Amino acid sequence: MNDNDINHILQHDAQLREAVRRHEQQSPPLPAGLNERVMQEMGKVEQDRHRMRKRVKILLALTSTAAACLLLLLTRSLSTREQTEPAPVLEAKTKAITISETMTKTEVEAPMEEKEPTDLHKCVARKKLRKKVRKKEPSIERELVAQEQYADTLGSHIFQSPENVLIAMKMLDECDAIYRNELQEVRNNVIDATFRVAPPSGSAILVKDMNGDLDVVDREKKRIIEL
Amino acid sequence: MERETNEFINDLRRRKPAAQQRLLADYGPMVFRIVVRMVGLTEDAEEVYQDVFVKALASISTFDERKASLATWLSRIAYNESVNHMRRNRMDFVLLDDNEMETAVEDLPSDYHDDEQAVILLEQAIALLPTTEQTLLSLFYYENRSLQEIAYITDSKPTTIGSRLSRIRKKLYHLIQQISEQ
Repeated sequence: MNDNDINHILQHDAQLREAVRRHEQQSPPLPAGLNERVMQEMGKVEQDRHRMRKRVKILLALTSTAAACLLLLLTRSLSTREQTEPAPVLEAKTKAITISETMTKTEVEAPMEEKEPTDLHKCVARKKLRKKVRKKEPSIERELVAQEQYADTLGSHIFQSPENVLIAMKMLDECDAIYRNELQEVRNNVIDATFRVAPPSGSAILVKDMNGDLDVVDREKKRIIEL
Repeated sequence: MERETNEFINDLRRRKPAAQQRLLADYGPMVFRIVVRMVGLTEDAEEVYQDVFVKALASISTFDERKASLATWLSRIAYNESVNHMRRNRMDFVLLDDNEMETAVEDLPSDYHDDEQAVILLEQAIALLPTTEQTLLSLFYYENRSLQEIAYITDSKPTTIGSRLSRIRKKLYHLIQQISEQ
């Protein structure tokens, strides 16, 4: 393309520019009052938006209130359920505390019982009573104390394992059985010795019942003689 | 100047009525020209004009002065609203197609008539063009917008706009020939 062509194009552009300018000048002017109408329209739109925002705010407030109420109800119902049905983990821990404490007492009381074998029955009864009372009031403080005192013998994780709890319960049952047997044996020995040294009467005999308890019975009168 | 423009835009964002009135006064005629050229001088044009400003003021927060000037941004809204209106009313309009056949500069008409007669003939030919093509001519030759700006307004590419303008020039040449023959 040479300079002549470029000039030609520019000339054409100049003519076209002029033609477009004239064409544009023929287009109608902005109608009077149109901008005022637009301003009114925008005012309405603004009002509508304001109203909409208000509605949205109210709706949001209502929704959040409803959600808060639901949450509150849910929390209440959950806490009520927790109070009525304690969690299994807590229950297991409570058992562990009771057993450990009972075992502590047993260990402390054992030497005394060796010294006074006749009071065995009373000791067992007292121990059972204590066990029942303690079951009703377990606390975290007690657990901590029990863990500290018997960490060497029982291990610090005894309260966290249900298996350990079962073992401890079995041990306690075995202890009870041994104490009961000892008590029976001592009683039988005492009765046997007393009967041999000083029999109450000629018709009196030694009888062992189904439980293995030895008693002195008057054969004629058919009643137990208290020694 | 730039600071003043920024303050003006901030006032528009704060929905100050004075700024809104100034916007209508300064840019109203330009927007109205685009709308009337595309939609025609009807009641619809006023409706579209209102929609353009309501939409512009509603979305002024999204206006990015780094992308385009306020005038270009308003022209874009006006163009889109007009096209939407034409589509809704099934009016004839020519879409700017990127795949459109390009016209080389060498193909431009070279035998326009001299000066005044040529301008008169061109004016008559322009009136025969589709409204979208008239709008392109107006934006380029009357509003003095660059190809990039016109591309932003029409959501097209600058090269496509250049090709389109070349094609319109050629079309005008043929129209002038037809008018002259009559």
